[in-house]
Amino acid sequence: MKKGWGTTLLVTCVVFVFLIPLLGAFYTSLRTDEAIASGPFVWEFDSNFEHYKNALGAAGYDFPSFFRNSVVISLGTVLLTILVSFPASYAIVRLGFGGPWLLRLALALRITPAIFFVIPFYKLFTAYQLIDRPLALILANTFINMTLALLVFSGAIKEMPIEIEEAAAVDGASIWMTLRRIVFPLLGPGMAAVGVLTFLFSWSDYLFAVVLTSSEATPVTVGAANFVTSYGVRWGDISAAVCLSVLPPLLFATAAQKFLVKGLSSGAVKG
Amino acid sequence: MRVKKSAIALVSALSLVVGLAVLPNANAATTVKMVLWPGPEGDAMQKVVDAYNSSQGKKDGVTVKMILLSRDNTFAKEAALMKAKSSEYDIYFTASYLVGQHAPYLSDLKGVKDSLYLKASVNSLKVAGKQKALPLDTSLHFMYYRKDLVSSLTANAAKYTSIAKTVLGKDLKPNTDPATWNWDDALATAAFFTQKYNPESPTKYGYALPAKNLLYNTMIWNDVLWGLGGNWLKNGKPNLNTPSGKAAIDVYNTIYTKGLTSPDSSQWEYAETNAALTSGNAAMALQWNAAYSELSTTGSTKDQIGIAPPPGKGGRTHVHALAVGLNKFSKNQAASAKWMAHLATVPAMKTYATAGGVPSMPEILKGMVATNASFANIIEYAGKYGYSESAGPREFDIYAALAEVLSPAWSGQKTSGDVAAAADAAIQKLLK
Amino acid sequence: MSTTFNRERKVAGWILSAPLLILLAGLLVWPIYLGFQTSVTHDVLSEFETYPVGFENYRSILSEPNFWSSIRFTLIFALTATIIELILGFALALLFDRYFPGKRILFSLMLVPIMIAPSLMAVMFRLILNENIGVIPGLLNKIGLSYSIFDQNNVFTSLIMLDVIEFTAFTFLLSYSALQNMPQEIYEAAAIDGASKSQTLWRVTLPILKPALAIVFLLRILDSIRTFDSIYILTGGGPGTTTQTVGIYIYKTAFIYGDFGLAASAAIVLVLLLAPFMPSIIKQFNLGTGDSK
Repeated sequence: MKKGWGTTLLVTCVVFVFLIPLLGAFYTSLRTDEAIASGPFVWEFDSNFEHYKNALGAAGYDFPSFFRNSVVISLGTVLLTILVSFPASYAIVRLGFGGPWLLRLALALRITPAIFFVIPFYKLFTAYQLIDRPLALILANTFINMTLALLVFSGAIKEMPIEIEEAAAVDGASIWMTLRRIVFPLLGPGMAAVGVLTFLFSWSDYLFAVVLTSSEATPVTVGAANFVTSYGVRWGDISAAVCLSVLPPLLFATAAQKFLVKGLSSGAVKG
Repeated sequence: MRVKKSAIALVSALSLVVGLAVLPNANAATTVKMVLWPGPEGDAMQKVVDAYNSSQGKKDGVTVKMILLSRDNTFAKEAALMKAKSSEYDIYFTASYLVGQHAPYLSDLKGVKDSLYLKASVNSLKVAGKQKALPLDTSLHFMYYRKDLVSSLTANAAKYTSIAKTVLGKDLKPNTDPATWNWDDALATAAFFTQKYNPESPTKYGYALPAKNLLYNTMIWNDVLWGLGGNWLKNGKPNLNTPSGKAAIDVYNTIYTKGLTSPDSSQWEYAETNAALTSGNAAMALQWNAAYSELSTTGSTKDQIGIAPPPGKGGRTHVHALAVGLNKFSKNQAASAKWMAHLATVPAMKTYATAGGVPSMPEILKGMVATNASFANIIEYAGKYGYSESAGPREFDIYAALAEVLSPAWSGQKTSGDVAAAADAAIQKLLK
Repeated sequence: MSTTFNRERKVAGWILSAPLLILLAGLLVWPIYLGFQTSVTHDVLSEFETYPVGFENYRSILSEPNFWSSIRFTLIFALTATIIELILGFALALLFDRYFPGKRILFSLMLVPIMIAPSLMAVMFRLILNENIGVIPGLLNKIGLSYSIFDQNNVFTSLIMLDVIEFTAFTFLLSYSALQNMPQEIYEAAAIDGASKSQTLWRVTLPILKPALAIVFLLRILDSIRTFDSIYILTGGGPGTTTQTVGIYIYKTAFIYGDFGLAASAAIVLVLLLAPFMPSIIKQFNLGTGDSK
């Protein structure tokens, strides 16, 4: 148990360093504008929580709407990404589909700067009346996260001993059944990792959100950027917005952790 | 069992997503969509929009909807939209320095009364003689300085002279009237208030230099160039690889290399300059007029901020106007024109000003000096010292190119001699 | 019997991959076509007319020193950052591969950096690193250190540190899930054979995880090559172009200079430069297709 606490201490230190920006944001969000502009350690507590009020309902910052959009977009992206990538990965690895070029294509995708896709996507989605609808961002984000999912799933499937599937085939299972009953559960940790990362990346997307939305489907990230104005950066407001925007993904990651663990214990390959 | 549960979850989640994803947009009788910047401009405009929608708008049959895009991304997004000949927005947010780039995508505006506006502002929005956008806020530059510090110079004349000699190699006496400063005065004062040379200085640095590779910083540097008698072009040819051009570059270079400003200022722009002043760590800065609202109300130094024109002679403060223009591809030309006609009136802009905007109408500004003292300076400087480059459609690009070429010299990595020729080449490339 | 099976497999392959193919066809093929078309066009915002110019844009790009220096900087930056993030992420995953008090909470907290949009993260950095009102310089001053974060000599290090803070969580999460995939028996067997902790790590764990870690490295470096937000907001690629990544270069070309044709050609050249390396990298790390163990 003593050993355990040593690790806890070490990890806490590391986590603390990684969280410095967020801690800075939290600290800033609780100070008055006066204090923020005077110096780093001038402490004047903003008992009105002015910044949080602004972040939640100031002119042009419709937080509930942004929040809802972010949730819809991120969840939708996770679902669509897994739906698209998981079966395809199996096809690529086990069924030899597409040869080597499909994965390479996916990788080439990852190299291309997002800027390249911005205008074509805008034109495409305008043609289908999808501008300023969450679906546009779901598609765009799936497109971006697809490669990650494909690679992780492909790698994980490759690692799985084929004997299990062969045994299932001998027992008369079709490919579909094998996929659903055997491969899917065994991929627990990989699935969770992909799910969590896809959610987090979609949640934090900015570029596509700026171009493909205007007011109805704007997510939290774009909304927060509105606090960078030409009269100055509203440090307090934007800090509050950042703090608020972190809560949902944090809850999601915590919930997904359980799935990670569950997937592990139900899918462990024990002799 | 788990698979079944997750299948149900999957289906319901997908349906929810699809359902929300294809929600129909609310419809209204001719809605006109207008893009604007968030912050004081957006807040103020919202009041004008609300007032219009509930009265005149009803008569016109128009409802205006304002869309706020973040300051940094508004123009990038508009560029993408214009490229795609989009009709998503009816009215674009634009500015004097961009109207050249945007002109092909904006309809000509008819019936704008020039006499209502600051001359510099309304003219800066004309392209080939046609009014392409309607002025909203006017922006120009002030030299902000610490009144308490500058007035204390006379008592320390000897020290001032010796520091000026050490740092700048010149014989100078204190000048406590910043309105009459030239750049030697400014630099010597900055040196006096830099702790490196004067350990008793209340401020750590004398100057807050925005030296980041950012096109808006070029606009500020232009003031130095013009104050010293220089210009981008002379007789249509690039003019930076000249004594005046290099002298202007040297001013910034001196400030940085002599340590009159923080070494971090190689990454500074608007917000950081303000922070330096409000935290009491800088004695002066060339900065945008909009900063006055923050500088005069926050921080320990809020009562000590004075305003002066940029040092030098002649027309030497950059002036530009933020503006709105009519999208050529908008499907609501008539409705949008009605709204814009309303915006081009004094009463509408009065509402704008009362709500915090800084309209380009001298009549309104004069009446509001009590609320914001800097309004008086805006009227005076725009008329007396205002100046703007008219360099054609790629003016915006030139600002960006100069920032890229000159910023190494601003922050001491290179000398003016190293970059002046490249600066001219960059301008030449963008002259069409 | 075997032909029916093969056909069934082929059909299944198509059906399983259908969603992916549809997505690729819609969102990849069309943009690439459009992007290529733009790259051979003179397409500038300030000019209304566009006209084809053959490979003029490509010629400009290939002879543009700023483009090449941005590629050079990008590669150095991406490589440095990714190597650090991989090592750090994996080390953290190892730490998490055991029970310790508070593991659950700390695990979630580890992931927080990814939850914040890089652009917002950069704005936060801008604040806390601000010399006059930021806590980091404030703290450094208090303990007597005077480290100028954005000074020419320090800028690169500062940017790398920020990238590490932002993205180590990514390499951590993937390394961690790869570790979870390791069968328990392997550890048990090593223990029976009397292997020490470090021997187990170097001789057993790492070799098995090599393919997975290679994927993590690959993904992270590909993302890093496209770095834009954080550096753009903090330095704008400056001073001058000393911290300009290729992502910033393309963005500026498109949205500041309004030259979409040139920007498109730059993006395509980038892909063409890196694409040849992809097959060999994939092969190296045995991501091959269709072969079973």
